[in-house]
Amino acid sequence: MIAASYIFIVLFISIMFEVMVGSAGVIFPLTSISLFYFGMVYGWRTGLFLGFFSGLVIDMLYGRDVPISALSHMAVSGVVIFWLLKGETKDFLLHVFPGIIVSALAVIPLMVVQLNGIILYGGWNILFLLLFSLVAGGITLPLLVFFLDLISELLGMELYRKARENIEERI
Amino acid sequence: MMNRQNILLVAVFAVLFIIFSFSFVRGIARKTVTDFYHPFFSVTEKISDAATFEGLAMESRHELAAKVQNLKEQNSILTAKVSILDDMKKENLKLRELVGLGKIPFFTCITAEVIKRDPAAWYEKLVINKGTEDGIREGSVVIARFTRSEEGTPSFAVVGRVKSVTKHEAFIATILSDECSLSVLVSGSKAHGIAGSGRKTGKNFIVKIKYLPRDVVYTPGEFVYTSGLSGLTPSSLLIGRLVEDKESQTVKIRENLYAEAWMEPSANLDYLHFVLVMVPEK
Repeated sequence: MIAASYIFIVLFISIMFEVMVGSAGVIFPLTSISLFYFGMVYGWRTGLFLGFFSGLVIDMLYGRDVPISALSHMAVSGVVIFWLLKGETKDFLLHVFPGIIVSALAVIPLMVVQLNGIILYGGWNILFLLLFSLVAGGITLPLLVFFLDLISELLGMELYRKARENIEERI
Repeated sequence: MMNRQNILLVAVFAVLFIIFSFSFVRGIARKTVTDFYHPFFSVTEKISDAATFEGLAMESRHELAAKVQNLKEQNSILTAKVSILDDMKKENLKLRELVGLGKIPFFTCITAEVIKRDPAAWYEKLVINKGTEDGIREGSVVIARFTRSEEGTPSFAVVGRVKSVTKHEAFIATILSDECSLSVLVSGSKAHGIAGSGRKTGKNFIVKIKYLPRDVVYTPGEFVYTSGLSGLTPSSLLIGRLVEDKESQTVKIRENLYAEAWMEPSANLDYLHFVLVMVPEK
């Protein structure tokens, strides 16, 4: 129950933050990054479930016609599986790479589906939008892992840095 | 990894995705989600309002008194103007009745604040903080203030139309969006057409006007207004001006049937904070 409330609060804040920053004209994929964290800690199936519904919430808040974020957020579970099998959970700095991949997964499909709207930005602005998201994702994931693990430790919940120890449960 | 259970799980989500692709289901989900999140988004709005209020309270008494005096003067001028307009409205209704013309709708303006914008559809969509509870209706025209470059005076221009409404929020499709089809009137040539769907040329946006009569002469710079043919749209609201396309042509004849022109919208779609929604009076 504590874990469910914790996940709900973190995702709720992530969605709020993402939508508010988005309303300033940039894509900051904080929800996908949080989803990566929860996918790693609670398993990819949980990540898939959370990804679909949190993505759907973002799509509904923006009034999108195609629920593309629901789909792209589910795809984060793919990165979770890869990182659980081949990655590293104890070196925080290494998390820059999954951060960039997760951001790319959140942003590129969105840009492709909303191409008509994206084209109106003009070339350099599109590049800025994409680069900002990738850099923001790369920086945020290590910080988020550190911060959320700190809270999880205080609450006595499962930790990200121990995600690869009982890998069978998560895959 | 890919056992039967996992395949089933992915299939369930695929089905859910298809279900949520239907506009009816999406509409219900949108209403539920926006109404749930609305109080949290309005907190930031309230904080910004409180900050503005505190900023005003920091000003000296003399400054505030001068501003109040100025506002009182403006208010009395506007009250006089409104009363003249009310008389004219009554007279207009009576004359229409005498001539046997049907009633025309009158509109009220509802001020709203832009609270959300999709970064992936920045110029095509926006969300405002007023919904059905405030009287907003689907299809209503949305206008915003801008400064006329030639005169330097403030004026209003069409931003778009209300695409869908929830209890507390409304989703606007801007004139650059394919979803905003607006009946327009080209001022000089008195030709009617349908505007909607835009693109970017250099730093400016241009919007396509379709189905214009082909035998009319169009000149660049002609103002484009709303035609008022729909009961949800008042007439004579400024939308933009005709411009030439890349090949320096004002119009192109399509399928040998109708003309197509491009106009530059007057509203500044980059920065929109406050807008007015024009709703027909009951």
